[in-house]
Amino acid sequence: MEFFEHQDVARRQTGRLVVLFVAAVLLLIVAAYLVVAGVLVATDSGGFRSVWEPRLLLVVGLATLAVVSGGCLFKLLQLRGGGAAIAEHLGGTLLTGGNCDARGRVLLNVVDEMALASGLRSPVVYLLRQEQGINAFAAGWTPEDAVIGVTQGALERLDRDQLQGVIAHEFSHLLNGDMRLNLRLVGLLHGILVLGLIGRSVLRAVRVRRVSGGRGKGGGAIAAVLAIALGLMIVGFAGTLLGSLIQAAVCRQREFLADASAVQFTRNPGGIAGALKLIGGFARGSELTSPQAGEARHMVFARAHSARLASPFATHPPLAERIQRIDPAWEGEFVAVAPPASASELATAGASPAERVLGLVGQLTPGSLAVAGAALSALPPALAHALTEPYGARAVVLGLILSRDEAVRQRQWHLIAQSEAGLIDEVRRLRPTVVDLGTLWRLPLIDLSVAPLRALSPAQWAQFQELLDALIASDSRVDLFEWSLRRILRRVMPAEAVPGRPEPPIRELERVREECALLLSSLARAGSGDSRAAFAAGARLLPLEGLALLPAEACEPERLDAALDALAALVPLRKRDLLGACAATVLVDRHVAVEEAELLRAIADALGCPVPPDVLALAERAAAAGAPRATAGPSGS
Amino acid sequence: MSTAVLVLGALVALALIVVFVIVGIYNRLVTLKNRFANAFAQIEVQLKRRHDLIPNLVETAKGYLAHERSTLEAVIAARNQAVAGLGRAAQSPTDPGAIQALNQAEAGLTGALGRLFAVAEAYPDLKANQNMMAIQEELTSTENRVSFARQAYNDAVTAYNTYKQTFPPVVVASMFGHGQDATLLEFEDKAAIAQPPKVAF
Repeated sequence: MEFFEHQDVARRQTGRLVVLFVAAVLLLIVAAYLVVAGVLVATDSGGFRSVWEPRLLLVVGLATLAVVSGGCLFKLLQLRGGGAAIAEHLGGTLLTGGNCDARGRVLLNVVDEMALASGLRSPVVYLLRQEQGINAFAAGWTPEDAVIGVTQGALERLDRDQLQGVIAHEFSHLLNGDMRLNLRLVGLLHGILVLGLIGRSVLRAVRVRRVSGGRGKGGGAIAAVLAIALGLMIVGFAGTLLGSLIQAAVCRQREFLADASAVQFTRNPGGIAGALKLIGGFARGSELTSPQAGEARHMVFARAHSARLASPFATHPPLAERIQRIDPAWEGEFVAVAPPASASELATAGASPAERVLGLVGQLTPGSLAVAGAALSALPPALAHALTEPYGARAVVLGLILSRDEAVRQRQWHLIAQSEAGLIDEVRRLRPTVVDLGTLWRLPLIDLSVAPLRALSPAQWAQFQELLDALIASDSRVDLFEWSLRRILRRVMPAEAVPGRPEPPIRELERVREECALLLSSLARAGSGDSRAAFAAGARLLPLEGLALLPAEACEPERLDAALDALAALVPLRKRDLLGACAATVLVDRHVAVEEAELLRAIADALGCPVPPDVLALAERAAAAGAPRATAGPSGS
Repeated sequence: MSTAVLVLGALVALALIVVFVIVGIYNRLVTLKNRFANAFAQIEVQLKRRHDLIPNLVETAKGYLAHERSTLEAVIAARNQAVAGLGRAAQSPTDPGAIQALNQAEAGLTGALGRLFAVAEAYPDLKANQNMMAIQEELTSTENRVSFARQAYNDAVTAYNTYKQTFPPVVVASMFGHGQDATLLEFEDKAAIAQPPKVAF
């Protein structure tokens, strides 16, 4: 009956642990006493002659105990919230039969099955919708107030058996009372830490007094206090270190125990071993992105922050060791899951193309590097050479912006000639090549010119910007491309933050309703298809009721600037939502026009969420193919 | 005199320890017995759950399987038999005959469901039906639950038996009415499993 045997082992361990901790506290008292007595004897104060003073030991011992238990109680009171509070703290939403889809239903069923297998009541289930890593946790003081949390990544990527294994593992934590044990350990550790903190604050206070009050006649007493405080600080911090080591060691044992119990409950080692192998082979692994994840690190299924190495402070044993124990025949191969940053991620079933674009925001992918490399090698040599230095890069940008209209272009040539001698010859030389490349190349060319332009001095950059503005204004209207180009080129030298207080962050999209409508309307009007449908596709993703498509004349690029400046103050999560809506608007007709790509790119840049250049092409391909499989190579599917 | 007091004190202490140990053993026996009794109740609950799902299943499948009336009727009949069997077994849980009948009825139901799903394979529309998919997930889950409940029952019975047969509980267990070992659930088709598989060409 391994199941109950494990429980016995766990109880024995708990007993040993308590002994160890009591020993640590006793050691702490002795150390504190030695510090105090040693200092008193050395400074010959308080009438102490020998190190052995029973009355002093009693006083110091009681004081130390009081401090430690006080700190412990304080921490426990802080943590008394129970499982639901922790789950909500981590960003979980309650999953019930009423509000879940088919996958959610499977999860709830699996939880009920494991409740039967372990003989516990079914806990409530929380889903961490924004977490894409494969992880889960159990929390709660008692099995009665317990909750189980599962990440979206686990729900999507694990099959039924694997999910069962993960849930069974969490049930083991609940059944064995690991949560309670852990919380108590955390409390005790805090108590020991408080001792060190007191020492440190006394040290600080004394130092401040000495600085302000100068040297009085109590110099010897102050030195004694200082020495005692220093000693307490060292003892407290060393104790905390030792305590964390014990705690981590216990955590690791509990993980092994829970893995074994998971096999016990499911009678299927393949399930949990499969889940662990999947985590090992998945680029996101078991990561949790919530800022509160650190506090929950001891209660999750696998490490919240990826690290393959064994460390004495790790709360989880290495994945390989865990798998080896469940599946001795394992040969060290993790199940390869395509990393989120590759093209195959775009083909992940279920995710909409817009979500795929979002998944790539801010990531330098092998794909985008390949695109950049391919772009460079496919460039005509003259352009490639020009883009290696700021002078040529300026000429390329100017070549891009020159109008097609003959009359306007004459005025623009004139402006360039006025600006700087010699520049006009370079532009004349490069422009035909730039124009020949066609509109598809506009965005890559702008991208490639950003890096060399950074070599300009601020004064030169300002002058170049003036020239650009003048050229754009020369036909007395700003078209979408000109606007996007200006906006993307801001990356060259980001405007310095205005000194003084920063903009307060905006948390609700409702406050920037007008700006959102303008953004989506501009994108919808930039496409060639039905702009009404495109707008609706984007607006549907925003929590704003009754958002209306603005007329074409309202979608002036100049107004976009103000809107984007306002939107830049959004909190990152809302930016993500907004960018998702933008991507949906662009992708509604399963085709990304050049203007749309440029505009989306400019918007993403302005919001501080850069999108790699290949994303749109890949997302478009995936959308067009109905998302069976998209590859980065030119051979396609 | 002081020796007599010491001996008396030691005896009293010993007697107290023995009483405590016996109380502990008794309480543990009761706990373990209740645990497996609860596990048995869970099996019943899950079987009932399965019976309740079947009318839904038949209702959903009816529209698509107009030509497979006999298969559907067989499922309904098997379900009704299983419901009746469960009722009898719940009334007299100690009667091996009732348990036996229930086991047979459940086996019949499993067979009928298996045939229904085999037939449904030929109807892609039915397989793609959202309702059908949801019901199939529920049935899968319920069958898992039944087997997990059996497993939990057997685990609990084994824990109880093992504890009862170890020393010191073995000395006192029969005094407190824990003489009989609890019996493990076995497969209804145990005889069939024991047979070596026949391969025919």
